[in-house]
Amino acid sequence: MVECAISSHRSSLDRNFTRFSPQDATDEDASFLAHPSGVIVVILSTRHPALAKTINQVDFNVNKKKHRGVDRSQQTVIGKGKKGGLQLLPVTRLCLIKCADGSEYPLRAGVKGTLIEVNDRLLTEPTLMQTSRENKGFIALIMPKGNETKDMVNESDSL
Amino acid sequence: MAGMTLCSVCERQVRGKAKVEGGASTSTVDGATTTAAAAAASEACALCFGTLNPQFVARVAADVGRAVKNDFYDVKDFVLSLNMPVSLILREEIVKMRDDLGFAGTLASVPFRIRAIDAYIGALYEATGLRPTKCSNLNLTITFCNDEFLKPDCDFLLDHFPDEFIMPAKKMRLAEPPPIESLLTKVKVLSIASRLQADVAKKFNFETPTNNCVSSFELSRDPIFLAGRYCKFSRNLPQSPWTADDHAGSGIVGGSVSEQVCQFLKQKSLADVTRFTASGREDIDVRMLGEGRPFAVQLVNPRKKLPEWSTIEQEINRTFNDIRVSFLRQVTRAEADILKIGEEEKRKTYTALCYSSKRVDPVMLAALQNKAPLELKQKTPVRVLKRRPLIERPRNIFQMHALPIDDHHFQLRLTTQAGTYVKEFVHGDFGRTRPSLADLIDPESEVDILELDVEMVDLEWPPGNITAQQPVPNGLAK
Repeated sequence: MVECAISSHRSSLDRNFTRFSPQDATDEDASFLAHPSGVIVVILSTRHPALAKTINQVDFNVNKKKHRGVDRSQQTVIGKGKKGGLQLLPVTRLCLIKCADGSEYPLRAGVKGTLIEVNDRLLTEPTLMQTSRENKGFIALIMPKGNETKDMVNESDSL
Repeated sequence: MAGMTLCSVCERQVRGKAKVEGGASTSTVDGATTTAAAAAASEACALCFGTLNPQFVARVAADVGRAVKNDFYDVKDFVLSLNMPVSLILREEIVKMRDDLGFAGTLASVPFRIRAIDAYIGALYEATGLRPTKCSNLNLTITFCNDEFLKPDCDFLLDHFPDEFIMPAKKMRLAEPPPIESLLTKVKVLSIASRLQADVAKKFNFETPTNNCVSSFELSRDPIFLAGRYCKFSRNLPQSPWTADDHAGSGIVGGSVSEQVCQFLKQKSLADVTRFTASGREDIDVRMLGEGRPFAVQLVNPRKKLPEWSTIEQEINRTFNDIRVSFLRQVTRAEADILKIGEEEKRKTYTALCYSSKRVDPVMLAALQNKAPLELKQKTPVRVLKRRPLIERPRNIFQMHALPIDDHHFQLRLTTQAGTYVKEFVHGDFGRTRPSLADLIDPESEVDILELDVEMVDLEWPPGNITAQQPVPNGLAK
């Protein structure tokens, strides 16, 4: 009896999140885990080329060359309204993924909203992005501006 | 100095003379006479504003009597409170300072509110059948309003005590600052009264009111506070009413624990409003087992006393399949407040059904026991991040014990500090709770939580009571 009940359980992730990808997403764009309350977890997409390579570094300080970038890993947000979070447009870059073979992939936010948090663990363990893509290797947390997921592609149905 | 017109009640009680109806003259303060017509025309009174007039009293009592008959209070007595118009209170204070009025009545020095209560008690008893006492659950508050003299009284006081009538700066900044008269309250009058001197008091002009007072009243019974512990056996029942930004859709929900218990008690007691508080809460998909979670219910303005507690408990438990209430009894307001104090120090015990992606190693599970007590750092979980600020909280796990079930499943029993997010400790919340259960057992594996039960909420409740009257194993029905 107990075993039947146990094997029918879905994972916490499946129970609580819906998988989405942005409209017209390329392979290099992020995927999303959306919580019904609104918060979006940004993760690497299954189609991303970096998955097949070795990731050496995840750099959250985009635009260093132009000296006007914001290091996303250094931001702090305050209060329920997450004041101080970087305002994102779909094209805003969250980070730069640098691979062992020299290739670099900028990762776009893919959605309009506020950046709440980036996964600082990726600074010291960048390969988590590949080995634990939907768990410890998540990229960032975003609070979308409005009902952003309604325009997205729901990936959960295809799984 | 103009004379002061008094009604026959006040004439008799305060001035000490009987008012002669239709007589040639009645004596007034300075010997001037009032005409018979004027005397007969009104029972208007500069002291009591007509509130002691027997016909007025009878009318008010009849109103109250009707309201009492239409309601269902099962109380046989009541406490009477009267609120008098501010102008009346001012006059009473001024009269105290005047020794030139010739008030020689037996009740001249008796405070007005005592004379007033005395006038109403008899009539109210006759009209309602309720016995007036000093101590009762039922409160009758009658308020008399008369704003006729608000402006002249204010002007008088402004002349002599201008410093008492400074509008607070905060109110002056409003789009429409309130009129100066709004500062004239009973409290203000009483505070000025201490500064009132006889010479100022003599300057006051006792105008006679042209209108009767407007009366209103409120019947209200003292609230009843109930305490108990509840168990929740359903994984599809929220503790409190479903709010819009909670996660949607795990199933059809028919009310919440608080709504169902409150609705039941409200119907039994015919209260106006019920308020439910509990010592913490559990998620919709988490069961509350063991002795149950402490809760309190406030019944506002109940009409009926509730029958014996064990009867109510049994009826609640028969009515609802998924809820069980125990240890139900009445408490005081102060006792009910205990629920909210010291939330941080409470300990909770849980059992969690866990899944491990790698094969369960019984040795690693057994080792868990020795890893407690330990401290976690939990960032605000993703699932509540929408409505809470992003902070990192330290939390303690006091005890852990794991039991293997099969190759990939085990049961974890743990005791934690209040405010610990247990689900996030088990699955790690994207690595934002550190250490997570996976970190402690095998960092290479992923651990997930499938089911969670609350076994114990550590609080002595109901207060001052033996909580384990009838030990019940794991929330099974009696």
